[in-house]
Amino acid sequence: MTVLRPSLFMSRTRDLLPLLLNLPAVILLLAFIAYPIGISFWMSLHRYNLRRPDQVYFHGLENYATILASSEFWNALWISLYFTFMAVLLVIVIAMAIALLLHESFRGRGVVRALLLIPWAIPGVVNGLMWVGLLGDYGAFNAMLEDTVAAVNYLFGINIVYTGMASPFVALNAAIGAHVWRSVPFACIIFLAAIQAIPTEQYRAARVDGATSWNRFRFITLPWLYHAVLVVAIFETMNGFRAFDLIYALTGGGPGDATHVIAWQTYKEAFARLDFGGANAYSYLITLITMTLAIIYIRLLYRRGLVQG
Amino acid sequence: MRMMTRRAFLQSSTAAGLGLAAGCSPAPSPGVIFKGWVYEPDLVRENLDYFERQTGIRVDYNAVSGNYHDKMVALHVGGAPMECCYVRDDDFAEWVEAGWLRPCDDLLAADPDTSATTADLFSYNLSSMTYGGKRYGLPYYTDFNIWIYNAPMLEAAGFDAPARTLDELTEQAVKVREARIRTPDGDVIEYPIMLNFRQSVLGFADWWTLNYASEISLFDDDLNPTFPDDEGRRAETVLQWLTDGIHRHRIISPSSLTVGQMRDHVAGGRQVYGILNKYDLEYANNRRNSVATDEELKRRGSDALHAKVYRMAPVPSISPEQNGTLGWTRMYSLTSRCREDRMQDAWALMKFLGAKDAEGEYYTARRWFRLRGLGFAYRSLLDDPDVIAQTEQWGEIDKIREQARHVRPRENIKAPWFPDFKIYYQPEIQKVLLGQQSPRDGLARIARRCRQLIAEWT
Repeated sequence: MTVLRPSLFMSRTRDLLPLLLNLPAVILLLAFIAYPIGISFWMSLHRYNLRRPDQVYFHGLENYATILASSEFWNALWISLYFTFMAVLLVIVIAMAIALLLHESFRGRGVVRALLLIPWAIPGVVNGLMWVGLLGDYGAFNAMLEDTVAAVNYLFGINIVYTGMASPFVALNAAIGAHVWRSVPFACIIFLAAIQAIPTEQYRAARVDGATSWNRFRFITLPWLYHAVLVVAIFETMNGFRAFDLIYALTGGGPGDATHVIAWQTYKEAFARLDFGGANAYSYLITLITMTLAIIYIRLLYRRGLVQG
Repeated sequence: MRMMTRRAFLQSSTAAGLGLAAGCSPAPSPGVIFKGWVYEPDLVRENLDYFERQTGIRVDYNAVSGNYHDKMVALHVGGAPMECCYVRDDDFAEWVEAGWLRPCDDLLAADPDTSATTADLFSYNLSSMTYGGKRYGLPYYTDFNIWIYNAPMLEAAGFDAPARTLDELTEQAVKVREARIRTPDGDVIEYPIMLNFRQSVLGFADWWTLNYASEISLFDDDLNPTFPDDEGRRAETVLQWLTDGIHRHRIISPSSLTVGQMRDHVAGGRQVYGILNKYDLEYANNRRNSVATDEELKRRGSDALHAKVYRMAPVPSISPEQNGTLGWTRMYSLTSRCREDRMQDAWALMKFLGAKDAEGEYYTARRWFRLRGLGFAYRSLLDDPDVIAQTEQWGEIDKIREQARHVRPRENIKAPWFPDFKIYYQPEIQKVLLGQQSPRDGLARIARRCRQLIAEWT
């Protein structure tokens, strides 16, 4: 019997065909993702200020060195770390609590689940403007805070002067609150999906063994949610470090430098100073920090055996 | 149902894609491409329609929404086709340095009628449109900051005239606060003075205004900072007055650090004193916009549109003989990408908008003033009977004329490092106002940064 072997040409064509079919997608990815990433890194190694278009030249890591030596960067970094830490913590705790609640059966659960998505659907700037209204001089939240401070003053015979969003403490924490409000729904969906995947037999067995609600949560629910927590933590860390639109609309970076987060500094470098070399260096530093934190999260959870590879 | 073959599908998809690509490819505009920020775009279009009827030149106008500076930077960097555009004096030097604007000296030299209007310009406007000895624009609108007070409220507190000096103002404002004046909504005014110290692209004009009112030169001729050891340390005195006003005397609202649109606060009758753009006085004294004015006119039983509820006064200064304020300029400029075959059309548009129309009238400047009270850069218009009559409905022409004599642009606005300065000094001044640092320390830090920037940019 004669064995028919494909010709060399046919064989090569068959090997190349998948590559050729993928080529359009690869070209698009290279053009719209790889190229901008590459060019922005290359730009970060240049002195490139649009106000001096005739003085663009390569100067290595000098942009990075200048940024790392500036007090503005370190101040912005600490504010961003506080912002991100508080945001991640609050989002995880609140979203998990809401997800547990929404996992229970009750009348109107579908409607509540749908309503939950509304904050997530609101663009960042709109969210900021909405909170400007709520926390502004004549806003409802501002009035509540003012009345609370007045009540505390009255009860304890002290004299705390409430200055609303003109207070650095209030401004920064209000920005965190607004960010959390918008971020909770996404985290909640992830937690809800994870909770629904937990085998009910485990809860039944725990009940038989007399486990309390807290113990059921601690020893069954929480371990099953570690993967979801990791995903939310990474997402929220990235979001926290990139928070800009909200700050832009809500506080404008003020009062003082209380809300000068690192993304705000990047914006100022790019559009206020027109220093595109410095702004790109800032962007890469944000990427580096976020990646480092993501790696730390993953390492911590892997080391403890909480997440399976 | 008729089935489509794979071959037919691919053929029609390719044809559709090519068609779309052809449709998306930019076609050269037949008219003059003109871009500006969003301020009354319908009125702008009306002006342009009139221009098109007068000249037969078509204008492709586009109002750039959002942050004008940032979007225009993107358009300039991207090489978007554009003949002319609005330019703020804040951005002027930056855009010239970046090579985005085209000087118009040659066009002015060839156009004696328009060139003659230069002599009619206020000197601070002319200066604001000139860089490196070259002229880059014609004025869109211009104005200066004024001190305003709510006359009925001041009267209710027992005063018939506003304070002249900063110390007198402190004394008067404390008494006004103690008089517990109420807003039209019935709320007690806790802080009689509201200023605008929110960090923003165009923010902190009030700081300059108060300094210029006390005739302080913040920079010398070489743009070196004079503060904090300027003559009599007056810059520090002004900043100390502001800080004391917030924390010690509680006459200046802490919300001054966060409030955006000052004219809305004024129109809401929520403050007794403040600093306003002069043209916003028309807004504040127009019952269509202002609750305070509407209430006052109702009280008088008048059906007039305007009432002089808010009045202007010299900006309070350290000494009574001092007078000054901040002025600014918005202009029309040709871009460096203005097409050669559209140059004359673009210049005709610039002349129509920023100088005189085909009939030799300051048509656009007059119309802006008539419809929105916008300030103009031409001195002769202050003597125009129509302008005087209209101004008297909501303001006082004599006070405007007097204040116009003492207007100054920001001294360092044309320094190449002005954008770097702008993002540094605003948070530093806010820190002073928050009590996080002393006025002297804050000014010293700003001065130190200025010197660094000068060294970096020269």
